[in-house]
Amino acid sequence: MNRHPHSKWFSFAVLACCAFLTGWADNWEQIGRESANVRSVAAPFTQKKQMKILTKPLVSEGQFFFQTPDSLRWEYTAPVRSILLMHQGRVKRYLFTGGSWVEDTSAHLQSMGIVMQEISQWLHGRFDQNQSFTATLINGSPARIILTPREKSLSRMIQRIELTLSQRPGVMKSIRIVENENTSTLLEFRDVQINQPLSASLFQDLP
Amino acid sequence: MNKNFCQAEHGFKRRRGPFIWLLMISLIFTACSSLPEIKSSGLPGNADIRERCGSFFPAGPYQFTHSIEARLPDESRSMVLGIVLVDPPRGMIHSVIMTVEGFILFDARYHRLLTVNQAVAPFDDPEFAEKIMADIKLIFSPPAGRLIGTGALDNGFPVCRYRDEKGLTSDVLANRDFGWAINQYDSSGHLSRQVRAYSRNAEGIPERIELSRHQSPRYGLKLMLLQAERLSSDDKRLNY
Repeated sequence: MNRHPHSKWFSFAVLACCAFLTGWADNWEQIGRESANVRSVAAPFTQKKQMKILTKPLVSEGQFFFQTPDSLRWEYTAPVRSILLMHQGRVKRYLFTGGSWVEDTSAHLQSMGIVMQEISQWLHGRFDQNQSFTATLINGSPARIILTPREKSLSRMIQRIELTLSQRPGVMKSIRIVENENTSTLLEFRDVQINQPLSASLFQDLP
Repeated sequence: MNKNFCQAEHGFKRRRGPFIWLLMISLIFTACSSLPEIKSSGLPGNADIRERCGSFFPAGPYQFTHSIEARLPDESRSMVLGIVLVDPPRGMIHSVIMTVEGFILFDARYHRLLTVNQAVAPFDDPEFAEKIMADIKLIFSPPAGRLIGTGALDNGFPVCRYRDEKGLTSDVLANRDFGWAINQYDSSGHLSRQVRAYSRNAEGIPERIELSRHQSPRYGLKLMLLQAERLSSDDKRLNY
């Protein structure tokens, strides 16, 4: 019989606190330091779009790739196939239609370029130097970063962005973009591979 | 949607290849002409034609999700996702258009009046928003106005002709069993917009719909069905 039944819980609590204190997301400096070690990211993701007019979320599947300094590939595989590429400041999007890939040349591609640069900044751990959003770090397990638009024009479209950090240093678990109380987009990453060699062509070419 | 049509479609599928070509050629021919003459049809009765024309549109509330490929006036191409809530008996349409990444470009509701909840350029232009909503109404709702004639075109397609208070004429072409089309003409009788529906599924819902605008600004939309859900008339989404 354990004569001190609470001691186990006490020990566990101390260990948990230690784990928390030695986490990688206690402050901006630490996040920046850990993120600097990330040279590449590859992860499948599930996107869930929630809106008041939908009974259940609209689910999309895809894959995400990042390579320092600023190369991104944001690819959707279902329900439609689309690839957004950012490499050396150039943004391109391809759509799969009629059995072949076609380049998207529409105007909203420009705004996607801004979004992709934003994501690239997050992956570098540069949250507190962001010109568009103010960042608040919420310690905990998992730690979260809340980004709130600085400008009213942006806040009309996005109320806030919630980034949930993984236990693994430099890794993001999910991104939730809250447009208003009824509308949000959740991107959940899984099987995240860090610092695996990625071919440069992945960010410049089609599959 | 009309169940008999769906059953007939099943037996028709094996032979549909040549008929699809025939339909397309006929539609192209029709597109090049101005308002065609309607001949009284010898085959099905006018009541049958009217019933057939009505069967192409949802009889009650529905929610559809489509991928939409757009060919824009400058010949650029884009793909978006579209969610539409329609309740034809009440004349209500709610449309949301968003990027594949989930960013909402346009959110508007039409119920007697057009209310735009959210819009980014170019959807924030009220004229453009009205055009988009008119396209959605043309695809998912029976034509506005009164039925002014039924019969057949020169090519033998049964047709229902509607005219609204603005003088727009809409011909619903009831092709046999698997395809249908709407040709809309302006008040001068020139073809302004055309809708073609293909591959109706077991519920009678087209899996592919193409809309083309033949007057400036010229553009084309190709809608591929991702989801269709029949709603009950007391669904709270219809009323908020």
